[in-house]
Amino acid sequence: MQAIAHLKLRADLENLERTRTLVSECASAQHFGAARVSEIELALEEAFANICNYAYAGQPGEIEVNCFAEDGGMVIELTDSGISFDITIVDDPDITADLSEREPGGLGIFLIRKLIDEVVYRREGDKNILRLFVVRES
Amino acid sequence: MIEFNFDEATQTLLCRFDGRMDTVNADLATQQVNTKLSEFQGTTALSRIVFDLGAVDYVASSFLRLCIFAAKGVPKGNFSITNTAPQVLKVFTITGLASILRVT
Repeated sequence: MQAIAHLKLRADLENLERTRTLVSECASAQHFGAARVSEIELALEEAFANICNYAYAGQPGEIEVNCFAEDGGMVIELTDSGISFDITIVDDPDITADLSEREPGGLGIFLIRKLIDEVVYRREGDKNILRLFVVRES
Repeated sequence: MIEFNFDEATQTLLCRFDGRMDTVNADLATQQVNTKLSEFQGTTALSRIVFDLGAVDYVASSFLRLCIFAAKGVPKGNFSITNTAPQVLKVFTITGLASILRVT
């Protein structure tokens, strides 16, 4: 499948804006509405930040971002060579808990799973590959 | 990024946020809020915190963490978030925070 956009850059939050802009432009070009583009940006940001903050345990590393046009939607694929981590099997936070029991963590992954139509993780060799498929609104 | 306004009569700290509260900006905002809250440490002067998001059109999970942290710093029910744009409110709603953080 031919990528409609490709980036390979240092896993650093200073590259977040550049990545988000690229994915946002892809989503707009694929005819997603403004509100959905904003949700895609948020999910992308949470996945990107998660890699920057945890994948390489403080060591330098890279992130590869590819966007693909697919029937009925768009795929954003994030690849890193960091610690193996499958976000699809992480327990959801208890969103019904009272404030005193709410933990501050875990909300980013929860948002990705809520905002993206299909989240698939696979490990290939030493790489984590996170595939986010978003369905285009009819 | 944040304009602070403390009303002594009501012991309320109003925090007016401005801009996109993404991961990077929310971390900076957290530092600013921490610094401001440290001014009240060891006193009973602060009893209420209000976050005004009238000039914010985007929030990431790191900003939600800041909200949870701030809300836990005052008595239960004394934290609220106002002037929230629909797309921002949706993020609080999805994460189950809209009600417990009194988001409107």
